Amino acid sequence: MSSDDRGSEHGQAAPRASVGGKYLTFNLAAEEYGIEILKVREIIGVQDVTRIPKTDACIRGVINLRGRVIPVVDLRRKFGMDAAEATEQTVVIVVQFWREARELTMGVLVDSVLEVLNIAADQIEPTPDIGSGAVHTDFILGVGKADRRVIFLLDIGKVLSAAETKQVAENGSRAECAAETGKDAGSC
Amino acid sequence: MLKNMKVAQRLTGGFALVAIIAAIIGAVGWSNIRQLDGSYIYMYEKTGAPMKDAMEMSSAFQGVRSGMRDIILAEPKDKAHAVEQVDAFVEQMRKAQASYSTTFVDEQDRKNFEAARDAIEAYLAKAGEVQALSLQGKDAEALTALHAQHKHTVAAIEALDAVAQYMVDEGKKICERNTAAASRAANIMLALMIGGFVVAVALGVSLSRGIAVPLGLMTQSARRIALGDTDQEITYESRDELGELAESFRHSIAYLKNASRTADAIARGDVDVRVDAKSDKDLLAKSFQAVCGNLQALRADAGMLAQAAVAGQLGTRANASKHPGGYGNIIQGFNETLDALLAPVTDAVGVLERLSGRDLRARVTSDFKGDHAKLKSAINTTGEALHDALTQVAEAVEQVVAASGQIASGSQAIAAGATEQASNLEETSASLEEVAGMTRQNADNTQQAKVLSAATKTAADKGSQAMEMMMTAMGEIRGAAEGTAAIIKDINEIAFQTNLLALNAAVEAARAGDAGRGFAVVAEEVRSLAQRSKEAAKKTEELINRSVRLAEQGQVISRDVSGNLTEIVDQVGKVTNIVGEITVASQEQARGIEQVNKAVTELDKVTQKNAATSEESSASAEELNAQAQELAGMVGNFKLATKERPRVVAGRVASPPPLPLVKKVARSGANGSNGTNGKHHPRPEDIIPLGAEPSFGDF
Repeated sequence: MSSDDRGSEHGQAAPRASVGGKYLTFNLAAEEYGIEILKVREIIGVQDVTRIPKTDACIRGVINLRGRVIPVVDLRRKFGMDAAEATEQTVVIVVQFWREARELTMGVLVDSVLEVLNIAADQIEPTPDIGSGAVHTDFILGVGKADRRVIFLLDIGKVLSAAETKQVAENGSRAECAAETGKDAGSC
Repeated sequence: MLKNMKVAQRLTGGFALVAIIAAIIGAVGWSNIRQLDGSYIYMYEKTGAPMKDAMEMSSAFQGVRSGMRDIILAEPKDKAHAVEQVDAFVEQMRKAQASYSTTFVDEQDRKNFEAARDAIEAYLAKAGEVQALSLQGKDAEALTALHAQHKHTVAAIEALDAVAQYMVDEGKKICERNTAAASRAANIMLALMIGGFVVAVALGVSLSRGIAVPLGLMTQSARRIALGDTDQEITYESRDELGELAESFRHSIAYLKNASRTADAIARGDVDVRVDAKSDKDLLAKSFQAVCGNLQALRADAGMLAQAAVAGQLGTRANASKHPGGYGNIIQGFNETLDALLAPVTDAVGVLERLSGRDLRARVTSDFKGDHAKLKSAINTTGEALHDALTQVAEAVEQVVAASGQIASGSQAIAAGATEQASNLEETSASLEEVAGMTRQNADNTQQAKVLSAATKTAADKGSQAMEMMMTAMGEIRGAAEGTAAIIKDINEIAFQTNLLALNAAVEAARAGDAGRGFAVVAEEVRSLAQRSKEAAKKTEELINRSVRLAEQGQVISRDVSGNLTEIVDQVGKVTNIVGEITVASQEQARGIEQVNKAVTELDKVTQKNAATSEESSASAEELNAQAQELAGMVGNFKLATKERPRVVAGRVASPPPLPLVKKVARSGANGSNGTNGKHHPRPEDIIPLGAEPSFGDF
């Protein structure tokens, strides 16, 4: 499992067609997204989030998950959408992935979780080329098709960018030091 | 002395005296000026001119001296010229001596001159010697000789100075003498002028006082006379013109005093006063005599007229032509006054005589003024008042006749009406019985309606209560539905949690790889169960919501029904009240009709009585008519101004034709209980032929 992760993160030229398998799908605004099931640790309801001072608006704060403090990212903010009030459908998906030989655990705040969906490789299209180099679409593994729906399959490790991942990692181990390193992770 | 002189003599003497004084002052001044003039000529001739000659002698001598020195000092060729100059000076000196010798003042002057001449001659003698020496070329000797004769030179100069000094002293003496003379003459002139002024002023004051004082007195007196004051006396007396003037004033005052006394007597009424004329031209006195004569004649005529008027003979008149002018006017005035007094008396007597003869149209027609107008007005007003009063009486009589006729016919009409009223009243009474029966039935019906409406109200009340209960039940349904909604929410929550659990299980199963494949199926099943329970809960929620909505609608409807029922109850209550009111009203109506019935019976009685009374009043009206006709005849004897109107005496006004119902009235009246009928008036049957009686026209 770990080698697979690393391949998807470091091997930039790896073929996208090899991402077929099980995905946990969720809603964000009107769109449907999917995360590889093996990177999902668990799904929890919305808990009290403790804000971290001097961090970006997309970092909601940290939560205590059975004795472990993990950061929570607001994916709406991350994708540049309007912030939304929490509803009874709102959940936090706890993800786990490798970055620079370290395993990171983070919570991702989404509008609602849908199902565990098995998408075959031939049902996955590569990321459509928009034609502009300015728009980075690296964090999208591909576009899955199920029934008549379109599901953006996310590489959650790339969604949370390098600098941010570092900050998140720092926060994961030493939340109290986040203020000092926060200056490097200015961009969101 | 002055008083006894004529005024002209006094003025001439005064002015002559002033002229003499002026002549004396002028003569003295003139002689003094002449004297001073001579003295100054003398001073010039005896001192001024000789002084010039002396000066010339002195200067010529000095020229000779210097010429001598020039001769000595001159070159030999020029000596002749110098000698000529010296000779010229000598010649000049001799001319001056000759001139001076003609003007000696006195002996001393002559002595001084001769001494000077001798000294000069001595010098000239020596000078001749010096001249000769010099001409001979012996200048040194000549000079010595010249120095040697120095004492002669000094002697000559001193002598000349003495001559000049004497002249100066003499001139000074003459001058002092002249000053003294001028001063003396000035003093004399001043004294004379002062004396002349004092004399002239004294003379002027004396003369003016002698004329102005008496003239002032007489001017004052004349001014008082002009103001009418003759009670004064002029005491001034003298033999000059002023004395004569004062005497004339005294005569004038005496004449005026006499005239004013006469006028005063006439003014006080003494027309017999005697006045004598002072001359043929004394118009005042003659006028006084004429006035007295006229006044005496006037007094005689006025006395005669007054005596005649007192005796009542207002026809007596005086002859106005006997008296001249204004006096004649006075007598004429007396005559006219008497005429004016007499005319209205005559007129008034005539009018009063006509009034006493019952001719009330008589009036004083002449145009009088003042008190006579008042007399005329009083007589005419009296006539008018009598005339108006009798005219009004005549009109009143006429109206009384007409009114009594109308009363008679009116009474007959009333009697007929009363009979008809009686028969109508019987019909009314029968109708009233029917109305009373219907009213009673009305009252019964309304009683039943009242009972029925009460039952309706009870039923509506019950319906309203049932509605209230239904609304409560609906509310409870809503409450229960809300409770169910809460349970559904719980179910939803559980479904959500179950879903999460299933998803987590699926995640775990995926992590477990092949080992977790069976678990993944279970997880999927659990998830689908959670989905189903969520959908079931959703449907249940919809159903519940719908039943809540329906319950709400039911509540609204039942509230409306309840409101309608309440309204029905209210309306039924009102109907009940109205029915109750109708019942009461019907009962009252029944009572009212009974009273009306009684009233109609009363009315019938009264109508009978009315018929009888109107018959009586008809008879009385006839009698009144007869008496009014008699009065009209009396008034007709007076002669009144005719205004076009029917004569009162022509007869009674036409009465209305007799009514056919009169007989019935009479019967009705006879049946009535009226006891007053037929006491002393004619019976109704007698009244009937009245309208047809033509003989009343004879009134």
